[in-house]
Amino acid sequence: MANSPPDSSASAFVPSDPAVPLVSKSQMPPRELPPEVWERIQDLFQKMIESPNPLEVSANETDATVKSGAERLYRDHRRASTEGFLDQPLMVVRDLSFDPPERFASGQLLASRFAVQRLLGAGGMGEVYLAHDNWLQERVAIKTIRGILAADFAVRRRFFAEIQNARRVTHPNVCRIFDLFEDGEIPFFAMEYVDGISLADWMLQDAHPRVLRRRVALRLAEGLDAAHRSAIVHCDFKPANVIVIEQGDPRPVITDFGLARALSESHVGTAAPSLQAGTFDYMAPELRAGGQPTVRSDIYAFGKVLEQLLPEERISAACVASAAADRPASLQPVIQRLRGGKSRRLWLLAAAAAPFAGLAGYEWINPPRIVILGRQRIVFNAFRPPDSGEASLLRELVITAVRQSLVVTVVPDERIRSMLHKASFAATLPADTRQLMTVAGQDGIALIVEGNIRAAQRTVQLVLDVFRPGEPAPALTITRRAADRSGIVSMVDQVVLQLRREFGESRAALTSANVVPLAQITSADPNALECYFRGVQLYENAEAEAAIEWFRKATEVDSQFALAWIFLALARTARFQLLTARPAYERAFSLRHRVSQREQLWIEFQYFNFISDNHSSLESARKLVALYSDDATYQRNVAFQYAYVGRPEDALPYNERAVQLDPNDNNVSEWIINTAEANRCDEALALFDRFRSQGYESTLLDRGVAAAWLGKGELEKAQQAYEHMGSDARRERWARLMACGPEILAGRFSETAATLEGDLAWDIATREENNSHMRRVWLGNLEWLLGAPARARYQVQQLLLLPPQPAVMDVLREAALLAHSIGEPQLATQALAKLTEIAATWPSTRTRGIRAHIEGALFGNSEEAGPLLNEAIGLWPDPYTVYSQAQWLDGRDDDRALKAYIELDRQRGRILVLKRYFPGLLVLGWIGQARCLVRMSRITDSLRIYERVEQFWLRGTARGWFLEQVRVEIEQVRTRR
Amino acid sequence: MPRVYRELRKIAIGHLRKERANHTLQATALVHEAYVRLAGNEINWKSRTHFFAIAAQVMRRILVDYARQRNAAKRGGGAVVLQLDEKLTLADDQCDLITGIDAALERLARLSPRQAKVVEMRFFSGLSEEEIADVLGVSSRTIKRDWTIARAWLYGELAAR
Repeated sequence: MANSPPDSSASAFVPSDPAVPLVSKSQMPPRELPPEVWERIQDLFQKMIESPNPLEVSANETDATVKSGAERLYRDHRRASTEGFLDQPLMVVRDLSFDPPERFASGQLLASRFAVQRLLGAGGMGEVYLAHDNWLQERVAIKTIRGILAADFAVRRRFFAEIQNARRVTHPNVCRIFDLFEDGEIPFFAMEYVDGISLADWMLQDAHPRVLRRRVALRLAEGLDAAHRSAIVHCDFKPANVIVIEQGDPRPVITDFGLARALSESHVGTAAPSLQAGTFDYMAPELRAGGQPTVRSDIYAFGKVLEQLLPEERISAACVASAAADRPASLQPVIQRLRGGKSRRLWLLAAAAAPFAGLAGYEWINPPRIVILGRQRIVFNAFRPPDSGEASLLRELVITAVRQSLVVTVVPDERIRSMLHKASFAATLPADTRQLMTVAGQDGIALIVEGNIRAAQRTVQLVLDVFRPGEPAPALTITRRAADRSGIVSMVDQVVLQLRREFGESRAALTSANVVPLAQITSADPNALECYFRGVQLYENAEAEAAIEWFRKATEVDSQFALAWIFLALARTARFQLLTARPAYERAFSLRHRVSQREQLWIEFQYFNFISDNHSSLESARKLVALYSDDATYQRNVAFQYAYVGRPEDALPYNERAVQLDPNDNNVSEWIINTAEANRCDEALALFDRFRSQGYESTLLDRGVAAAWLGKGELEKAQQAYEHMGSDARRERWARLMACGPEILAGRFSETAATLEGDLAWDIATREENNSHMRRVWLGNLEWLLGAPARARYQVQQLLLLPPQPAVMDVLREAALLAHSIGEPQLATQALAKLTEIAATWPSTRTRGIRAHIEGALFGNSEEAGPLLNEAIGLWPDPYTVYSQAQWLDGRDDDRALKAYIELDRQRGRILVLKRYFPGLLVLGWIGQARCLVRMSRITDSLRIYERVEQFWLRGTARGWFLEQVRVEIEQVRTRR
Repeated sequence: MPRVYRELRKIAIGHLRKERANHTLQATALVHEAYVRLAGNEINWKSRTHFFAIAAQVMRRILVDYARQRNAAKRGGGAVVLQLDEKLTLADDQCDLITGIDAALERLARLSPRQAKVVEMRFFSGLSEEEIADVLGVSSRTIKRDWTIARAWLYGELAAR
């Protein structure tokens, strides 16, 4: 069987297993049994199913009737379970005159592209065919969906959208959906052709050894987990939906991802949509109760499959908990257990050597045999002697090449250090091999690459001492040597290919297009490479200025070096050199098809991020996470983009995972920040305390904790946190800007304006652009609130000098809004023209949304603004857009206006965390909300909000026309009560 | 009991009218909805479980009657007018399965009445193990055990036919 037909398991029971002869009637035990015999049969049967060796149990039974009755029951039980007999309660079906199963004839050409070869199977929902894709010259499976035919256009579109979603899963253990097509009226999708048998059949075969079943279980878990991390749920996971490729090492492939959801969601108005397609035994209790499918309902289904696959282990217990909350939030703990704990782990080893003189390959010793347990992780034990340029280059090249593999991951040095530190070992690299092996064993690390051949020899001996005590290690020899410096790249290619094969990547996979030669990913020129790697090192140490020079040199030596271009762009962005960064991004983006998929997605991610197309950027980040789930940076990137598009809640699981993988300062601080941004201030503070107590001292952590204190209204504590953040010279300017936040919230407008003005002068004197624009925006807003429109006007004029670049779009928007507030329509129109140019050059939901917002806002209170603001809300509903819409609705539709103000308050985490929002926006929103409530005659409610405004803005010395106006307003409302 | 019968039928047909395309519906949805509609009304059901026990019997009767008629209609050349709304149908192979299981359940009820009840509630009414445990006043572990045995037994019965 290949590619299970849609929902084949849902078809009713058909006793048709020819391999098992049916018992003839004469051999059957009499059906009318005396009750006590039937009782004994049941007891024996129960013992059999609880035992690992059922037939041994029954062999001890002396009563022949009981023995044969129980054995028969047991055999029927086995067949009934694997066939899914009565798994599903009876379905009531609306009549459909079923079409003949063969819709396509062999030889027929579909969509001018797919030549049908033969029918592979048919089921309740459609058929599966084997076909040849004439374009890509490969075999594919074609699946039709019959039910969707009767549906109307909207339903079909929805179904297609769901399938597009499922398409995003790319994983070796997930059957890839290539695309959707329509041939005439018939929609079908093309997907990876998987030649194998269903997992249900595979489990029926003679007992497979446990190690094999474990491996299959692990791969299934990894496939599901990759999808889950892209927030895609299978919805109908069961043995019938898994195909096992039997050649060599059995590889399971999960099919029909999200299909169940697509189908159920396309059927509008169903009482319990999720109930339709899942098979009962694998269906989580909450689904049976009509709930929506979630990651946890998939985990339940996986647990059920695991019970059958590995009955002797109790790994599945937590997965099949009947309350969803009791199940693990992801399959990660299961994967860890399947990979094997400390005791069961099989060590493998190798050593790479880079002696000071010359370059070398490595020798792989044969025993102990390699057993691949899912993704493998490698550490490079300081394979970078400080005084050897060649060794350093070799190391970087090997890591770059290894990184392209889907099954091998390089553990970053920082992670090794923290692992060693946790185990109370000295956290310096190179580490003592014995200590490194101890922590590596606990952390699922399979391979230690040593820095020189002597150290490698010692490692080999240590491993043999564990596995083959008494056996001396074979002498390691250098097997490959680069003839000269320029041969180093091709040598690394060969070494890494060998390594990847050893790690279980098939020859077919390695010769396919997935393997891009290292020279193409990086450069073949050792000089370009040297510049590039030096640049990367500097960039990672936050020395972007120095890094720029090296990247520039690398691109001069090799103008086709995509990675050097993207790093040049990133380093320039870090220094806020946006005008020169832009061509570098564009260059990298245009060269991206040269490099491997991994680097290509990464370039796309960075490019889309730069041009403010955050939804596309999120998409690329999610793909990277699905493919390379062990890379902490990718996890953090997804989180970052989620926060950027205003979904910090969705970011948190990725932040957590990033910290699990690599608990560096950056990852930890982003986690705290996004938690605060999701308004979960107490959690953010708890996280901060937790990491501080573990010895995290970085000032990066202060930013998140400050935002959390702000969210709780503890302005002074926030202030202290920013002060601490500013004690780090690298973050001083940023911290000084952020520290104005609590000041502004406390209503100290003139004092804050003075601070901002002084810092702005400092910025200008030192040509520091990074924070100066936001400083000016905040300053302009304060000047407006203080009643100094001429000065605010000057700030707007200065901001309008900025070029129309996506990176300064938020600043230009603020300039437009400020110009509008102070009654300068001409300046506002100038800003709009720049925003329009940006949206036309780099169209995305964000650039178009912001442009629509400003066009609408400039219409002021007129009717024309409404549709534009609605469009903006649909595209980019960030705090400014929401505020403008609320203002426009004010007095027009107070119910909706109130809702908008409440939404703005819900986004307070965003306003407080990010410097691109003027912190006063939060209080302005409250004032709007209170006014709204007054108009709705909800005086008590409005006073509650006004009191909050007083608490922040009207205490102490606060002054300015705006505040005076609010004071008067509140008094009027008080007297009305 | 007739009231439950009418209500279940009405709900089933109502549901299916609303649907546009190839739609399958689990009996659970019907039973639960019928319960919600009837529970609040003048009928004073002893308990939710009492209702479920009755509903399971009714569902079985509706479906078995229907399957028999379908089979008879097929063999007799369509002379029999279907009692059930024509929109509520079962696939052919399901009809055979239903009549087969119904007959086997009669025999199982003589051996182990509770196991037969469990099958009735789970297969015909789509109740969960927890719900069945609740109805029969035993632990869900017992229900699981009953189900495993009954299913294996039914498999043997149907395979031997």
